[in-house]
Amino acid sequence: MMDGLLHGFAVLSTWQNLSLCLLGAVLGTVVGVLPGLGPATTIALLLPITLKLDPTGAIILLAGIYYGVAYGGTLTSVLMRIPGEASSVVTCLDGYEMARKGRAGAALGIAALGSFFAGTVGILGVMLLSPPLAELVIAFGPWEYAALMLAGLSLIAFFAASGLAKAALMALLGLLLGSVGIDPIAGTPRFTFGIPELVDGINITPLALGLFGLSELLFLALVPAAKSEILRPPASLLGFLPSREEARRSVAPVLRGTGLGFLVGLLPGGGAVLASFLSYAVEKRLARRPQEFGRGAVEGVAGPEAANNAGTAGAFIPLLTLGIPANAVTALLLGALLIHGVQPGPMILERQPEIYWGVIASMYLGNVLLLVLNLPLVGLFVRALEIPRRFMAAAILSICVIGVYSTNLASFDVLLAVGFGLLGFVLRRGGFDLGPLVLAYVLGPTFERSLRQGLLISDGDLTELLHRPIALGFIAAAVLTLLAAVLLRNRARVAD
Amino acid sequence: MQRRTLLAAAPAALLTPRLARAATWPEREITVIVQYGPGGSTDVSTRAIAAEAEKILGVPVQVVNRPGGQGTVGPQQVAAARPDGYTLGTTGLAGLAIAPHMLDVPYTSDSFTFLPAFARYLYGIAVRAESPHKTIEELIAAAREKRTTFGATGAPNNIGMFELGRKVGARFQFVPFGSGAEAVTAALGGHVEAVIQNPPEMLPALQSGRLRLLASASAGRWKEYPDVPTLRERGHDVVVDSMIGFIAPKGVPEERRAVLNRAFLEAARKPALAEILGRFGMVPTLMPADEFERTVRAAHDRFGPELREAGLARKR
Repeated sequence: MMDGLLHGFAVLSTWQNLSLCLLGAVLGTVVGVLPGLGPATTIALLLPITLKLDPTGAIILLAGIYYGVAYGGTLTSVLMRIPGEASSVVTCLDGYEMARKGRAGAALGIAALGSFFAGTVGILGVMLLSPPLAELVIAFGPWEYAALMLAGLSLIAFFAASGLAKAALMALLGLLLGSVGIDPIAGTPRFTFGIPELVDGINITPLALGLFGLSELLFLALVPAAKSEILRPPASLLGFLPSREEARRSVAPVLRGTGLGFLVGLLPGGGAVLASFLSYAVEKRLARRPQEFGRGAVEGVAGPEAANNAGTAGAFIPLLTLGIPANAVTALLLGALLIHGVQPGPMILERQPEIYWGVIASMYLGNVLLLVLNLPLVGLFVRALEIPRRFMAAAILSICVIGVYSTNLASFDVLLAVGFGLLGFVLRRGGFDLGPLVLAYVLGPTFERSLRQGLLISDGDLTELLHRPIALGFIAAAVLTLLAAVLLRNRARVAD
Repeated sequence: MQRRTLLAAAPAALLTPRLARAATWPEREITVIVQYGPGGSTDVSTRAIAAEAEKILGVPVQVVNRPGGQGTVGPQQVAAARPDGYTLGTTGLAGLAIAPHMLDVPYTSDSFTFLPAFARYLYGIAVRAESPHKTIEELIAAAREKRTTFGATGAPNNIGMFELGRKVGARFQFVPFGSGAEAVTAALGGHVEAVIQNPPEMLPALQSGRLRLLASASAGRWKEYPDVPTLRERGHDVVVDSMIGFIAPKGVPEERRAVLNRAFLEAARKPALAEILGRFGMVPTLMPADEFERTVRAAHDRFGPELREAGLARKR
């Protein structure tokens, strides 16, 4: 294995491959920062160009974009409450609140360091654990998926800063929004009201940019300029350094986020988005001060940001060992390999070791480059907070609209985002948390599809579950979580 | 020799553009709307033939992706475009013959001018290595005994299995998956008993010995597995088929249609195209416009009752 890795670094150490690795990291950061422009679109746009490169160089470049995105997405989430990337949606919840308390630099610094740690550990995991983890991927069937999603949904009970009933209501709304589009089993459209644009369901980009970005805009407009709180930029250039207290509180969430993100990233249909949401829910459950969540808890930034990076690394395992892309972006990487006449999968290690090890080596280097790139940028970008609010508001509006439109080039999506902006505003005015809504929207469709697949396979027989220990474990976790939520709440009430 | 021809050709080349322009079409770039996202087999194949057609037509052929609506958004935009021959699209059976039974789409086959089709998808039926079924006959025998599950993304794959089941008196239960990769993974884990998909997602698992190909469900065998028979060779008259072909809005002038027909048929013969198609598990095919149109219309009429029977068609 060391031989392989050294071979990889040898492959990497040509000028061409080194500069492609750097280019990938830079492009990834930029793409991460720009909402709407996702890694899938960018990689697709670059595919024709990579035809001119050799396959190793092409994959080094495209992989750089893929894992670089998880770094850049944080920036606008924290500074403007606009998620730069779907995997950074959940960072809006606490990252932006941290910025409002003058801790923007700390939030971004923690995110960058946590991302670096998770990214690097993730690659180690890819290198050391690929074969056994590939078996885990295969062992995961519809029942296991459904049970995992159920466990994730049960965590909503702990999301509820605003109360259990309100959180449940938001979760139901999220499930409803997630079920718009093609019925995953029957293949016919539902809840689309005859609108063709809704056939593919509600895209996460208009939903997230509307609920978080545009609704924040309305809030900004509501507060009289004189009274408004101003996002304080850090006093010194070293302001991106987290305080000792913040660093201490972030260690455990980063570790948990790394492990969780890596495992979720492995699963087909999983990936960085799911990983970040599950990590947030877990951190909230485990936090000593859960009431701080949604009000600028550093754990709510550290965990998910580590999870989304580890998730991107985890997705390489099924791609390289089984030839199975776990998400849309790795599917494009697979396409890129195919265009070059390289058949991905387990045979790649025997037939083209230079590609396998070259990519692994480039990922180590790429993560170092991204950290070096991102830390100074934090200091720079945080200065953006000094921009007067009225200009900032205009910037938020235009970034949101461009971001939403450019995802699918659909003006309907812009209308949808405006609708979600109004909805987000009304809900937040009414004291509802948006967290449960988005979590249910993300987890719900996978839960439904997997459960119905499982029932089709067992011919409607639920006792099939008894033969599935992994699924039973997740269900037990879900039940315990719900019980704990109710009991803890009652105790809190007695104490009052 | 080469040099002399070059010299001789030079004055002609200088002269012809002017002369030719008066008589020939096209004069500006042609746009091809692909109904799926970039990077997939349809997109890559279309880009490859577009690059060849460009050389023949002498104008740029630009490919744009309009994914969505299960491959119906692209054709929708083609149907609404100006029928001047500058806006074309690609489609397979999914968009024109299957989706109209399941979704409300604002077009029918009558909304289009058909052009040639150039590639066919391959389909195969496989089980995981641990499965007791070594041949397609054993899988069929098992499905006669008890309900047997298979994973697939949707039509036409599942329709093929239903047809097979009906012909041999076996019960195949369709379990839909969001992507071919997920269907193959479920088969590898034994969550479903079989899978019917295309080569790109099946080949890695087949080559590493985790998956066993029982039969090609297409008209021909897979080139990677020349010993594995087709369903038809085994005496089951079932062929799962879909292709990539070009369409234009209804009413493209006849002479422009002829130019496009000639150009695409010529481009489809290029060896460079065959190589790209092969990498994505597609079969180069020369299907003239009228044959493509007949195939689409026949498939549309056939899929209607079959989808209704499978409970997959839109309720009226």
